[in-house]
Amino acid sequence: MSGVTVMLSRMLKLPLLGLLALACCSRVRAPAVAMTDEAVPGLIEVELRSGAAAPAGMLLDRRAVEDDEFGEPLRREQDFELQVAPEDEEQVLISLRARDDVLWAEPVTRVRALWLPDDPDFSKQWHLKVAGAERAWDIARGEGVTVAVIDTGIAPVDDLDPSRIVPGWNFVAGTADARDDNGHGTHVAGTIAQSTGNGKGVAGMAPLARLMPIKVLSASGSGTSHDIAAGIRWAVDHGARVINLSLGGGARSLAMETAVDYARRRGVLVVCAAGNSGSRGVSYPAAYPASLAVSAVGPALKSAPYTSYGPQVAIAAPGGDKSLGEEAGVLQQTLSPDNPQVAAYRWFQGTSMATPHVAGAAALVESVGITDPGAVQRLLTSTATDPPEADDERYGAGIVDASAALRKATLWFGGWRLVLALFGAWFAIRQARAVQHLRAKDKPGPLFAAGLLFGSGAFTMLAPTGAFEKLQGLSLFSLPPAAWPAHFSVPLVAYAGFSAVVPLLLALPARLAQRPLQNAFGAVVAGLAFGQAGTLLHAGLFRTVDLPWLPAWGAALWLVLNAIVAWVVGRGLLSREAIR
Amino acid sequence: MKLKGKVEYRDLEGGTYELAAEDGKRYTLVGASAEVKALRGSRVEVEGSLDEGFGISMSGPQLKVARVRKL
Repeated sequence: MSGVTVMLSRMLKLPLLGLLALACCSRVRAPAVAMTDEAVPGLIEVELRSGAAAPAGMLLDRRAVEDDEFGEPLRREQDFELQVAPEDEEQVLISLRARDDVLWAEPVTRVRALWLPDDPDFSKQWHLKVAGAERAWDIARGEGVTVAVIDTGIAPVDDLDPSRIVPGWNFVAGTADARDDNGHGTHVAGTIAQSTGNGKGVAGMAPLARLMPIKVLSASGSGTSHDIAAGIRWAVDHGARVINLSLGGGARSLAMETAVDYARRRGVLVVCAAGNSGSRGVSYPAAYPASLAVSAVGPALKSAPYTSYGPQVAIAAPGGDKSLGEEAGVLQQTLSPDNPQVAAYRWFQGTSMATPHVAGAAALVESVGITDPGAVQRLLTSTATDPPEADDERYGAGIVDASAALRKATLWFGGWRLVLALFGAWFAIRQARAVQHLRAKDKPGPLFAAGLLFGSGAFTMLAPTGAFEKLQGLSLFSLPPAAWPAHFSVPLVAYAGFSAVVPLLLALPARLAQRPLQNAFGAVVAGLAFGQAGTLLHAGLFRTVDLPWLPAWGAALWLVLNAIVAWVVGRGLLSREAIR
Repeated sequence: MKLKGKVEYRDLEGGTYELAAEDGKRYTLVGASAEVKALRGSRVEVEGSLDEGFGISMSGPQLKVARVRKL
């Protein structure tokens, strides 16, 4: 394998340096804060209930915190920044957290190169931080993914971007007007895709995702299994990639179960609330095998007292625990309880609030080109944070961490695609030399390497640096080029991505050259073909993409066959290097 | 069906009203929201029917309120 190592170092030098330079340049422009993520020794931030006495330590900063213009009037709370001796920090934290008047206390850390939104109340959204949204936004923001919110509707409140709300349907009234008259659906939609970085209100998990309002619940928050099943099918047929079902009941409905199966078969992930019974027994639709059931945790990451639990729970997410105080709920914009015509920022709790954190995380993962619902689910569960206690029925695989899932989807998957592409190229070159199609001195150069890196989508490995999200127009580079056609939702063209069509078409003119590898276009196309072969093989072996025109087993077969075709295309270009 | 019990507010899913019924069960009250809200904390008699039970509260059977009367 030393041949591979030599080739790798030779080929990677130039293009990788270029990409790294790009990433570094972007740092300069980024509206980032400090560059380390270490705890600042001895610095603690504490929030106290109103009237509580300040804790011991040198007081650096003290602010009264109160809800601003929109929300319900909240009690004033006090936010402190304390300096203590670094060696006492742990002890002080333990004693602070034990106090009844302390809402929370945590060491102050400097976060690394984050895109921090300027939404004024983002700092109160502990739940988005728990779900890993902050670091996830450096990699992706949900662009190009539609999430259906099957609920009480979505109200066009001012902290939701109207251009991101796609047409939906109202199954209660039988009209296209799916506006919310309860507030629940709007709150849920906010957690998924509240306008973020708009200098107003609060943030959402996947701010660039599209929201599809499907109203199946009346103003009083109840509905029928018939409407819910119809809503699921409507969402699937109108382009939703993720479905959020923050609703449930105790009765198993065959209509709903087959609708959930239909969604999953059509490549749509169905994320459901486990229920609020506070006891063992997950409600339906969460309990169906094809659903992803979500239980709720509070700010201390402990299972919330109201959450239902059971063997079907796949993952936990922050749903709030208001027994610890109002601000231990989930904060989003919704409707005022007194006047449903007026928007208000309110703290809700429930497994309904946990569910959209997972649906939002799923939208983020889908936006980096992982479109198979099974692959999205595996990514989310395999990267979930360990819960504070071992209890699979309450926490499933753990607490959702969108940032960890995205790092795995870009770094790890990008690495695999590159390794497979390099192996294919190495094998083809070795073989071409053995049959004397290629002379020993004909070595692949930087253009071949650039084609291979591009085709394999290796640059997605740079996504965690934040380069692609910070520079306008580069977000496409957080997904492999094979996923680009589908990203633009162009009919027919979308099918060209995960196939050998592009290298095949490009190889035709490239083959006209006598020695393609010595010709810039031919060298790039040969590299691209091996890169594409790596991408297709990875997608086939790891089942990461959903191909809507093929059943699951057919998709894997299609991808592997196309990987072979792409490899043959690359190998064919090598054979034109003939010395005979 | 007719049930007697106490109307209780529960801070869940933005706020729901439940009937802590004399039969020992808890029912999420659906519909007639203004009347139910006004009777928070009171002993009442609710006339209504159990619906399929799908909704946002997910915490037990749902009682669709036809009439509610303070006792």
